[in-house]
Amino acid sequence: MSENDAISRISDIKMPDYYLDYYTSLSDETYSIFEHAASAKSSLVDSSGIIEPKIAFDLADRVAKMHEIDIADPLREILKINGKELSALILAKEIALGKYCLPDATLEDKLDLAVRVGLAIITEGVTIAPLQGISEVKIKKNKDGTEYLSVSIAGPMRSAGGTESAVTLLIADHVRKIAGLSKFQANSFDDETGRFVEELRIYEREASSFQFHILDEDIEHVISNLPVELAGVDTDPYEVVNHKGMARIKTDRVRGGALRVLNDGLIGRSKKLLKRIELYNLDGWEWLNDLKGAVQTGDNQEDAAAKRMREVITGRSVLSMPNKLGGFRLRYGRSCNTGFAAVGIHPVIAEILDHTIAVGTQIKIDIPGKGATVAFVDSIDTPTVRLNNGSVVKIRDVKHGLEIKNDIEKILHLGDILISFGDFLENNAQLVPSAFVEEFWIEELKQKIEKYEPNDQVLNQFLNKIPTLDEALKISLDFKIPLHPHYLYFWDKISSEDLLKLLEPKKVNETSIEYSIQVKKILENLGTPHKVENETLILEHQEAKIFFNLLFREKPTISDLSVPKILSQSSGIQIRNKFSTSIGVRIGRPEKAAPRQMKPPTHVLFPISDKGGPTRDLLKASRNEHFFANIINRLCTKCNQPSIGIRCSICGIKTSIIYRCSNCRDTLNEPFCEKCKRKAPAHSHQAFPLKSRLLLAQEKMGIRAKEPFKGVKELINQDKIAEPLEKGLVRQNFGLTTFKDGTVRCDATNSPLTQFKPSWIGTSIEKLKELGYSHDVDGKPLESIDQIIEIRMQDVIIPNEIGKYLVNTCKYVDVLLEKFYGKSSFYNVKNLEELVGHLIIGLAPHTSVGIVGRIIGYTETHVCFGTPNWHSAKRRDADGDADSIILLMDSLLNFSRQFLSDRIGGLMDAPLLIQPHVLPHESQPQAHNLEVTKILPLEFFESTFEQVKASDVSSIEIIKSRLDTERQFYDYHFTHSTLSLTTSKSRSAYSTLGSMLDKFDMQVRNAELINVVNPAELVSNVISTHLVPDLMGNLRAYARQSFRCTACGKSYRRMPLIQTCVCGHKLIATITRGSVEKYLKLAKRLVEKYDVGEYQKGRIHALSDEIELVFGKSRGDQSLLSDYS
Amino acid sequence: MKKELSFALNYALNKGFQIHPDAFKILENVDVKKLEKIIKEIVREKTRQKLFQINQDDLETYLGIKEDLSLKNEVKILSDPTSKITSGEGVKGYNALFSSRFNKLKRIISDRPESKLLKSAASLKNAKIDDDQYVCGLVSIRNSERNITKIVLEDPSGSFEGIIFDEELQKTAGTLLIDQFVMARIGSAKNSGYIIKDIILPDIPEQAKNKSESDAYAVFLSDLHIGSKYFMEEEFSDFVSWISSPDPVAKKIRFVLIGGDIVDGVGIYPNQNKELVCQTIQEQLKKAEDLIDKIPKNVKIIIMPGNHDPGRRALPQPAIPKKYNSGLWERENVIMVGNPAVVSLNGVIVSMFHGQSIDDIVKTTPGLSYDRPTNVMKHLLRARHLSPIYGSQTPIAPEMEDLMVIQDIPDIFHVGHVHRAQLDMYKGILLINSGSWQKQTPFQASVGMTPNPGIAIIVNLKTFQVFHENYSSNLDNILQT
Repeated sequence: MSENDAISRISDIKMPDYYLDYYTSLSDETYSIFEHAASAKSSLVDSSGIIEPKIAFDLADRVAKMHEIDIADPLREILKINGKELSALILAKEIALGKYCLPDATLEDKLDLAVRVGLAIITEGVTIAPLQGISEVKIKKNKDGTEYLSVSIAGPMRSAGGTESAVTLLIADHVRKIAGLSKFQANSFDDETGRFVEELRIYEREASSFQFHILDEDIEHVISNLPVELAGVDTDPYEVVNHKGMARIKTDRVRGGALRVLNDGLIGRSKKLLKRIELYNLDGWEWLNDLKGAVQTGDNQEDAAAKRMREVITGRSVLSMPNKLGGFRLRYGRSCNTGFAAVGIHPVIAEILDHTIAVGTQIKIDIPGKGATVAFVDSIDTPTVRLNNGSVVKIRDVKHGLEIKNDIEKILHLGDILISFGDFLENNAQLVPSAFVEEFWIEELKQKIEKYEPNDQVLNQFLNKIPTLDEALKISLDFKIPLHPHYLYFWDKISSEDLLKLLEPKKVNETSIEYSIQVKKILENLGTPHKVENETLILEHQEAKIFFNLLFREKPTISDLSVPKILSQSSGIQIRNKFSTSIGVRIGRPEKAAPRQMKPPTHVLFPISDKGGPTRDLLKASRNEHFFANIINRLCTKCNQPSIGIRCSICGIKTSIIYRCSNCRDTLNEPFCEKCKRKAPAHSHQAFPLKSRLLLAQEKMGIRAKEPFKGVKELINQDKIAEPLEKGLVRQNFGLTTFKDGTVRCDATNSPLTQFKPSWIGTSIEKLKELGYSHDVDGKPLESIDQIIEIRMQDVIIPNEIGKYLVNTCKYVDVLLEKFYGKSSFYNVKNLEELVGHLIIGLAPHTSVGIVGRIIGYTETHVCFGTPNWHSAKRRDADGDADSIILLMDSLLNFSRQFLSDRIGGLMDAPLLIQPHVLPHESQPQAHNLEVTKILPLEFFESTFEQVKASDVSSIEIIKSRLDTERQFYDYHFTHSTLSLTTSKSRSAYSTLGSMLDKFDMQVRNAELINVVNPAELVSNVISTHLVPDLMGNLRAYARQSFRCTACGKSYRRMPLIQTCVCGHKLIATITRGSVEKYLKLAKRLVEKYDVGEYQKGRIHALSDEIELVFGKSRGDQSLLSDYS
Repeated sequence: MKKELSFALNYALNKGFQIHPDAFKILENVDVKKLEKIIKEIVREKTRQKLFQINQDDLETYLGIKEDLSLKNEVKILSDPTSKITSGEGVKGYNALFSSRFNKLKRIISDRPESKLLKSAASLKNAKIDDDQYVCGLVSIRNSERNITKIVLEDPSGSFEGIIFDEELQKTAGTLLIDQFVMARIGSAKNSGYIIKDIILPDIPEQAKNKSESDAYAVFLSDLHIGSKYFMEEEFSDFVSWISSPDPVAKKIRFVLIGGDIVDGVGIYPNQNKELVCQTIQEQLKKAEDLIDKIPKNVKIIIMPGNHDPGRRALPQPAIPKKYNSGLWERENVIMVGNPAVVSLNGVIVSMFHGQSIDDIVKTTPGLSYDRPTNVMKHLLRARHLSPIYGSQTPIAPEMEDLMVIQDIPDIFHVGHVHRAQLDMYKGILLINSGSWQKQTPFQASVGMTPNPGIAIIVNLKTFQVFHENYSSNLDNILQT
């Protein structure tokens, strides 16, 4: 496809002119980079002569290019009419019947390709599941001699997702029928159902966990009914015990891929599959109806909370508990930086919790489910706290929070958590009744105005402004509108007995009310600010006035009614529920923005085995008199010297590859030895003039290598192709390292953004205008750095640190272009400012399609801000995962598939394809669920009380409803504004605190600070999830440990009888008493301080005794950790 | 009064007999099913003697329950690791441990004539040898590829690598356990390197059995898992009361051996607290003590720890520490030993081992399974080591001496751990896996393990005749022999 094709492809789509310009400039730029890179590659000085990533525009393109089969055009046509799911089936059928295949293809080949392409279409050609998740598709024989189809699943199937992975078997069954094969007959050789049951349980216990828990009977039911065989390759070194050496199952180890298809796919998603089966009109799958499916571990709230608490990870704080007063109160809505699995929290929380959270920190939440990332929104409700002197204060804003921070004793109410309706929709969740929030009140007022006083100026002003208390009371009385939420307390969370106590103050008037200390808890529950003086609670100002008007003007009559109803009756002012539910929040992974490095970090992919010492230093290795390396046999026949580049770096002529039969040792020109009838490898262990090559390279690049100049121990690719040394020299010079595929990359947590202010991203108005940004969201010309602008589809705002790293990458690419490839430089970028406007690709770890993005600015956070559509094109939502960012030119010049292992999973996380455009209607459905509404209508709030499913709500506009219209590109509105994106610190404490102990310390401090979190419960959980497993694990590992050589690093499973390493040096233990006892003192102190129960206490003491019985009584009181208090 | 008892009484009275109150007391405790037969036979016998009073002596003689003072209950502890542990640490400890293993087993194998021809591994370095030679050492690598098995042996001088072509010998080699001691007959290969021509294991020599002079019986138990929800408390209590019943077999019991996992422990596996009825070790052991209390005082009880009991998990294990239950330690008829232990019961030598190593051996050895634990026990005897594999599941502590080497040849080899009661013989040694007293747990069910719990194995130490009492109501639950 050429450049013009790119434009013609988008010219049919309805979009504003500026978007057409935008996409045109993106494809122009992409192609110009392509051409520049291609001309550099054509110099043949590199180890590969072509640009390897291929450009693919859409699903059809990707599938065709990934499988190297010419189906793009027909597939595009089929997709237009049938949609993704049916197209997969149609095309699979055509392939199975021999269309698009070579004439000599066997039936097995055809079916193999059919299943793979089918899955590729289902997974949109983005994941590598079709290539590497399916290990093989084979025709096998049943015991009765009939033929059936067997699909063998490998680990990377995981990248396809649960439903899709199971659909693989539906497609396989479909083509099986077309090919006229029989059904698979389970258990005809041995107990295959039993094998799956045993294997799955072993996998769950030893290897990894699944998304769902399933029943044994379901496993038996599925395996005995499957019409095709679910086979698999082994993935983990755990063996079954009772079902070994089976006729059809070649391995005794667990087959993670197949088990995942069974557990998370066939059984966990059986309901979704049934819908597909109906759509596909497949018969023979009715038995899926009988499955019990995923077993929820506890349906009621309490169980879910208990489960979440059990998952507590040491050092990762629990911030809020589900459905408890004082936790984060659910608030519906979206800000420009939330939605798409990012949730809003007030920035003052981060400040008063010592930055336990930062932008991009992953959190686990119970409603609407799964993970989310933190974003800061300052227009939502703030926390209420108790100070050391007993007074209760509602924090006004960040500044106020910082002022009182050191006086805070307890956080009584955490304030709001802003969750978008789209996230409820995406998770197919039920709505929870909304609290009576400001925007709810405004909608009620709006309705009244429209009905009775459409032109009332006084009333209309309150649609945009909070009324004073007097005004609020008057409006409520006059118009029968509930009391404004600003003056509301959690009346719904106290009992009528509590109210009775509140009706008996020590002193009362309109400006001051005094209570005895006994009602403190009630006032705290209400969230009513007060002072404490001499054991007396004093309400003043606004609080006194609210209490006076609600409680003391007319004496309430206590009845069976709820407190808000009692007060509404007596005062004539409607009191609504301020509380809705609280969301359980615990911290998951910390946010991340860092260069991606290999372990250990590597400058160049060149193998030096052990000769460079533990740092893999090429300079050290080059001092070896006879340096040998296991690399490809590329030889310059003129100089008779090995070569890395296709052209000889000395004389410049083209080199050739020599094959050597490992049996007869003959030198061949073909990769096959006719004499021995076996494959001949292209690589060998050979002498390599490393020293002279390094000198040559340094001379050529004008860069001197510094120690350590890091290579790799060995190459992981089949032909042992190495990188030219020059690349490493330049990387080292600019402080860069390489990833296993030859690219220089950074990882950053994904975060959505739909609007920005120039002041947030540090880019000048002029520069923004150059980039095509001319107007703000209201259509006003761009003049000030505080105007709000809607971000373009593929524009990204990257962390500052990553920007700096990319500037160096630009310099590196330029030096390579000039001095290595002999071409002109391309970027000429000297600083961050000049990098703005350049193209990068975003790449998610389990995929192989890089999505083009354009840098428009930088942020002092650790996240990469991009549109939900852009993130979703990478097949990601923002639930806390980090994706790679690679400079576009770098991925074209330096990436080579040849460097990657041909083993299963080797192709994951590599830019095999590059997609230049992101079009909303082509992105993942989850991006289409983003709400783009400006207001939440009254109808919506009312539907929350019905607790309907989010999918049954039609009152909120989402992207899906705009697809195929111009407005799918712009006017993405939000409901809640924010003044800033971040807080005073860009990194969370978890990533800045050093030791696990410091992190744990913070976790306990947070638990003691936050009222809704119970420290004893938390400590008990930390003991059982971290401390005990650590102590026990290390103690057991101690008596099974391996040993390591102090000099060469060789490791020994057991102490050898010669008692030294083969190299003659001393061996040391890998686990010592110190490492076993690391947490013992802490654990003992915790079980004394907190009430964690007899069982927990007993475990710690038993472990302590056991340590003494392994090592003997400890010599004195060894202080192994700084004292914890 | 029970129906059967009044029937018996009436029967005797009708025949004109008097029953002495002491005799009546004995009758009350007799199994009701046997009552009718007993009373009829005694009446017939006494009628013949024309003596019409049934007294205590008559019944005791008939039932064989007369306290037989000639039955000895002599226990000698021949080997117990309790006082010998925590002797080494880290590198030093493991060096000593494996040297000790090598030296002890080399001494055992030196009884064989071939051992005169032993060469050290270092002396063989690539040298061509004309005649067959012998090397010995610990197996450090066992590798089968295509049609060749490769084995690496290690001795204090270095390591030796040999290959095996012979199919039969490959089968033998395939069952070698990593880190076990073997001797190999070797010759030079065609090109270079060495061929292994024979593999010689330390093994057990045939020898005469020790026997108890008196007719005392020993009960072999293990894996009670007291404190677990799944402990068969009722069945076990029934069994304990049977020991003190007038049953002729029960009356001769003088020893009860408990081979580990007497309690379920605390924190042994994740979320164990949900499957416990007693949440602390102290509670669990107290319950054990209460149950044991019901065993007659003339029966000696030997208790060994397993992987669920408190103390330490690494082998060898010391006896369950006194601090958790001094009651058991102070009881006169209870002897607390470590794991493994060797005891002599009236001269009969019993080697007791809980059996943790079975897990690793079953996993890595073809042809072995949890269903037939005695086959694994044979492997251990042939290797003359209770837990050869290092570095896998079973932790092995760095002690200065390898206490897991089987030095003394036992008459009875008693192992538990896998919850499959089974009997077998190997070279004159009675092999007992004593099963369990815990019902199938959810964990066992999930991996398809079916235990046969509730079976007590009883051995006559004079004749080596084996009895068993089955307390399971499940008809499929039977003792394997």
